[in-house]
Amino acid sequence: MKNTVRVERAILDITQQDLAAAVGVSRQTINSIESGKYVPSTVLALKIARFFQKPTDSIFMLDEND
Amino acid sequence: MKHKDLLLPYSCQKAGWIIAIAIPVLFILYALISGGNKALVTERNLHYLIGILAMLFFVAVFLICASREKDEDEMISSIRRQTLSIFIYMLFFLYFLAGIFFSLDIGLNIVKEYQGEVLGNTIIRITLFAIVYELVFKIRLWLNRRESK
Repeated sequence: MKNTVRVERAILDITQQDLAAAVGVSRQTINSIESGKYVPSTVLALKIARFFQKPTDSIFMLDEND
Repeated sequence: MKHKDLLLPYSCQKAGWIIAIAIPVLFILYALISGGNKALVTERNLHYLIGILAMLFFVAVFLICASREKDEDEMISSIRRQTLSIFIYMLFFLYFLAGIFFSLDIGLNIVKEYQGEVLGNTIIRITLFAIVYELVFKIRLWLNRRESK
């Protein structure tokens, strides 16, 4: 699954730690999501989308392998 | 995010580490206190001491393995699950090797003693399994944290 978390974070100019604190996970988790190593749960994906005030499917997208 | 699982709080892991570190310290203290005093260094006393220390170690390993990490979240839970899978594969592989090893009766006497003394003892077996599991988990967690820097 692809995502635009890094881009959205850059737009708001916030750190991984800020986003992690806002959605209640560790900075390592945000880093792993951004680098595509970890696919978040539905709850976490919804929380991240709510934080950026965007629809979930505009931040998380299926790629060819999914 | 509220994370529902059956793990103990992180403070239990800290307690586990304190107990694990205290075990050799207690043993050294016993050796220092009883040094030269033949009345204290009896086979019975040593037997009790080793028994108590072994059970303390068992408790320490349980507390460390069954507790949350400081920053436990869904990704760490996912690493925990993957570690469990790796551990089960390792276990099957090791038992498969051990099966071949012992059924073909290859090896030295010390290995045969090991089979009887260690593999036969459930508490020691569970403790060893728990240590292997925790070791694999901590290594994977450390690798993940290193990659995230």
